[in-house]
Amino acid sequence: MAVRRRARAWLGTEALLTGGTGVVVAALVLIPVAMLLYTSLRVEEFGEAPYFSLEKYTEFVLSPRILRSIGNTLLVSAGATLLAGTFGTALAWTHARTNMPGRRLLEPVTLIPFFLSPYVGAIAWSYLAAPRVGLLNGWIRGLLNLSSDPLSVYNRWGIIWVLALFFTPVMYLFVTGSLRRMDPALEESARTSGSGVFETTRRVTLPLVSPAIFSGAILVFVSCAGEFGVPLALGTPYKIETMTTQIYNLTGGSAIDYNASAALSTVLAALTVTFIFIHRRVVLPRAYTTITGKGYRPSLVDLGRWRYAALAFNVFYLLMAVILPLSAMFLVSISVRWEGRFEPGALTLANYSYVFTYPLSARAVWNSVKLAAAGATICMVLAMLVAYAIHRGRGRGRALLDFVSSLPVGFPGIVLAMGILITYIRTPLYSTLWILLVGYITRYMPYGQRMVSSALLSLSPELDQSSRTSGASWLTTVRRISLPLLKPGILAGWLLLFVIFLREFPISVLLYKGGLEVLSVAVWYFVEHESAVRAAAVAMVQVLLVLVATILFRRLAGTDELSA
Amino acid sequence: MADYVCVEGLRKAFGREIAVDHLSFGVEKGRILTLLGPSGCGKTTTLRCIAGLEHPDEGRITIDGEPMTSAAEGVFVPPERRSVGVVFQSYAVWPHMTVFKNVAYPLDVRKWPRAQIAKRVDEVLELVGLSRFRDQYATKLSGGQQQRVALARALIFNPRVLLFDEPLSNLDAKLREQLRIEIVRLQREVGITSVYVTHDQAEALVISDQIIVMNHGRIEQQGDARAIYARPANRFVAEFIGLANLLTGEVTAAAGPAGLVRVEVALSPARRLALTASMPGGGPGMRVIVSIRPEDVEIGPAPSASWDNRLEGVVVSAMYMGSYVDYQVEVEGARIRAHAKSTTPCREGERVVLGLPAAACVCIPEGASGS
Repeated sequence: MAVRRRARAWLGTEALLTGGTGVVVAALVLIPVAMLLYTSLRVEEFGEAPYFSLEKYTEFVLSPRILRSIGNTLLVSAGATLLAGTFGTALAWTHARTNMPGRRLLEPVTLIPFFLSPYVGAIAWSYLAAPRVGLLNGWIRGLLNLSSDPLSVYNRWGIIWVLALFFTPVMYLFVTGSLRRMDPALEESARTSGSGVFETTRRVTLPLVSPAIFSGAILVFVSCAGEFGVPLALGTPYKIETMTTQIYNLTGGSAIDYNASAALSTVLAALTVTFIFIHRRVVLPRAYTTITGKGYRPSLVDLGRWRYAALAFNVFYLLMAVILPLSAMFLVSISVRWEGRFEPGALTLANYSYVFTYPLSARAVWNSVKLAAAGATICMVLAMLVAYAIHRGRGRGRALLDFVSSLPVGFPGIVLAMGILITYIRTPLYSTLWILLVGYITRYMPYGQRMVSSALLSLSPELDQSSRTSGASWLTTVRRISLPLLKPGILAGWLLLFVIFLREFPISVLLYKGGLEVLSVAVWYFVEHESAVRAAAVAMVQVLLVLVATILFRRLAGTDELSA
Repeated sequence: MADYVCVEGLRKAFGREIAVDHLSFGVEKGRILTLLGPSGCGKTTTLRCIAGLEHPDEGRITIDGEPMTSAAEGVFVPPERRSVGVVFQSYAVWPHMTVFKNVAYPLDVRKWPRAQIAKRVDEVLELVGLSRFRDQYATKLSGGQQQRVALARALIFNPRVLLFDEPLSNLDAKLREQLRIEIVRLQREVGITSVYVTHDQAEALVISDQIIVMNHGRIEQQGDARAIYARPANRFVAEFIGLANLLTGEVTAAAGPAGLVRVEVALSPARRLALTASMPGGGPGMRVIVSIRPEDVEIGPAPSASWDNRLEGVVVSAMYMGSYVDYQVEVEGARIRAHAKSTTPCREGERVVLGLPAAACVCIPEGASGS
């Protein structure tokens, strides 16, 4: 009884709010995961009584067709990770540790692909390197007098290439973060011990950032394995399927089988969650703590003449990941028609006016903006409360809440969407915008939470406590001390989520119904059912919205926020 | 006795780590008590329990007779309703507010009228010497000035108790000394009952009316500065407060009046030596540790007739420290440290005689620990 009274005396607003949020977040995450597992263990044939069985695993998942798609997933993910790892590490090192010209200018543009939709990137690359209608194919054909097309993106190499380009910034963020946090004295003592710049780089700098490289590689691999838009755009036209496209194929059409889709989803989730788990338990604890308080600038490696080679490499990356695809898409979007050649005589804005007048796409723009704004707001409120419960609370379930609330990070969008579809299909939420909202929040709340958490961890708890001992209640303390101090982090988190939601594809495509289209779904619909020029125009609208929000984000947050 | 702040049987564990182990003490009204000990001894946890920032597992804390925390009665008054001012080590000055706003905050949340707040803030800023920084952002100030802001903020609402959690640890030595004196002045002037936590023994000796030396969540010794320095109750206190030469031995006989005894100490396993030492109430057969402060040890090329105990040895090192020389002297296998005026220097390798005044050779019963 004493315990209960004590609890009540202490609990009050703080525990009610943070504890309640914890329960809600745990339910949001755990119910779809449980439903997914449950569905995967059942067989529900039309006209037969449903029963429990492992047959979706033993027969379906192990069938040659599905094994081939699993092989494809592993292959393209490994390839893309290798390529993105090399690109990202090289870019990071040249920016953070060398005297390459133009470093300051290049840094923000190198991150642009991070904010863009890989799906739209894949579409843009199809304008560049599709057989027959690819711009690059046309140029190279003309230049070298070839009779056939030298390039095609509609194969595994194309998928690897586009994935690598778009996940290079993830790698870049991890490695620059680690390089910037490193105590320069570590490198300086190698120098004063008698090793030269390059030897120091090889024997001290790179080994010290290797945990960050490894962390980045795991995250890129997991993201690629869960990526849906790129293999959909580049693989399915020539029947190259991956796990994510198969999961999607089974949710509609003649092959519809939710049990099989759930089983394959579970296998994919098991793969990605295992990797994330290894990362958290094995890689992170081994990361060297190299942070110190002193802010000396590290000495830069003088690349000599090679610094122009480094610059050329940087420019090459930007051309491939940003300039060429976006220019191609823009040119397509202002063309009257697209047959692989830019015709300066036949330019028009009609495609854009079509986008804003055709009901489906006009609706999609509005739905996306609405969902992004509402989703980001709700996510940040939840994120605040969860981060508070984890880092400032004293409840027993803190470690558990931390685990559960970050679990969705390990789940590919299409997998979590599958769980959400199964969970909410029989509720009134289905076929309203609410189910998309719930999907977005469930999948992406952890990103907001990590932003708030890193901001919260950099604030001394004594700042809150001195408000309490000054006579302010918990609520007053949150309102007058914590919120103002966390404001930059919360705003940055809001904008990041806003961007993510504007371009979100796998969850949207699985959960939408007619009337609930969002931007990515409209792009997909236009690619399938309308002309290339109109598809390019919708995609450009999305890119422009994303870029505006990204510029605002960059004003508010440093790059450190992204790798946190 | 009616202590203003009263801690009884306080216990707090973090997982398996017992931070505070059934601690009891009181602070008289208007006095300043210091909790002194190495890091991890539980002093900060104790302070945070008084502030209401930590939930003790057991025990009772009262302020002015009013229970604040009582595990048994299910009482827990949240920090904002305890009327306790806290000065933190990290200053915890709010970076998004000016000095004025920071200091006004406690009155603001108490809904004082604006004019009265302004008057009172100006008064307190005057008191801590920050009047001219009134409208600056607090984080633009130096560490010492920020800590004055924190102090002003803790004082402004006339709390019943003022708590200091290592407030000077982040400051450099000069500033620390200056602020130390100022805190004593302010505390006397305002007359607020205070608890001060520090690991710096010099700070504790200067500031406190009472000192509690803590280790492993328990009290090792409690008393005023003089008593603790001159008569450490056990080995831990002797080693923690100041420097001490410690020799283990056994009392062989009482030696006349004034609590003097004869002690046989072991310099090395083979070499024993008889000393006259101070131990009121000591008797033959008691195993003791003899503690002698380096500044009480006399050193010279030849013995003086007035020295009670004489030891011969060789100077191993002599380090010039400015106002004194720090000698390490090897005496038959034992090292004795002596601090002597730098006017009559002895050289390294020189044979010297050490004198240990009987009154300065303090016997501590071996195995003695917390009271």
